[in-house]
Amino acid sequence: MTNNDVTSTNKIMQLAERVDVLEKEVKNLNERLNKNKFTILLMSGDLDKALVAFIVAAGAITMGYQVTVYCTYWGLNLLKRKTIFKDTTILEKMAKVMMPKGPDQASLSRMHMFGMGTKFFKVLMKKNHVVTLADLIETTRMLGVKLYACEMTMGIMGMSRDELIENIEYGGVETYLKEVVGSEINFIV
Amino acid sequence: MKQEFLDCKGMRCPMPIVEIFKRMKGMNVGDILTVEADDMAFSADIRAWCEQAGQKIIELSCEGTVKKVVLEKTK
Repeated sequence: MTNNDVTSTNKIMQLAERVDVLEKEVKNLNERLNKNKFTILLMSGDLDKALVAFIVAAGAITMGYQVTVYCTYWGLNLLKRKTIFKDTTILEKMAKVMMPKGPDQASLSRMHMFGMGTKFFKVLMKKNHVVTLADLIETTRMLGVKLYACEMTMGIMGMSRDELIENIEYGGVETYLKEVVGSEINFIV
Repeated sequence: MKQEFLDCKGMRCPMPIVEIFKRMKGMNVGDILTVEADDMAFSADIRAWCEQAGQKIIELSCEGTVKKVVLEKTK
């Protein structure tokens, strides 16, 4: 064997090793990247924005995606089913009184006009046979959407788990990010 | 091979496709589902949905505001 042959053999062996490493890396990445996950970060509790979020969620489920909606800040109000004032501070009580309770009380992000605009919009929606936000959330739940409530924001607003609808999950930023990292698509509304 | 019918008239986006999705879950491969809908976006939506979900459109017709589509469950 000449010196040249030895160098080429070494190079080929090095390349083969690189290929092995890369193949493992690709396999690893494929496992992490679940191609059919769809995540929505819903921080708005506005009627129109939440409608968009849940319409997209419903559509994505019918198209074969596993959909996660992570609700934080104003979005949490959409998960509310009742208000409990017991064992809360005065500041928390004030926050609770001001917050909308559930999807039926959500208002438009624009032209709310002290409630008149939202009422008018709801009449238009009904006239056009568009489903209400509450019904839409229920539909996506029946289809299997995974709903998360942000516990940090719940803390700020003095919300307890008993105030929110049942069969949802709880977590913080890592819980959300774990869903996002494995998702093909992430929406922020 | 079964023939089924679904009336989605009066429903608006995203409900027609949601109802089709739910109905198709309970059907077998090869079954035929005929749907009538009057949502304005229905023709575009059903095409996009079938492409993504891997279902087959046998026939898509329009009569006034009512769209009629014949679907075959392929998976």
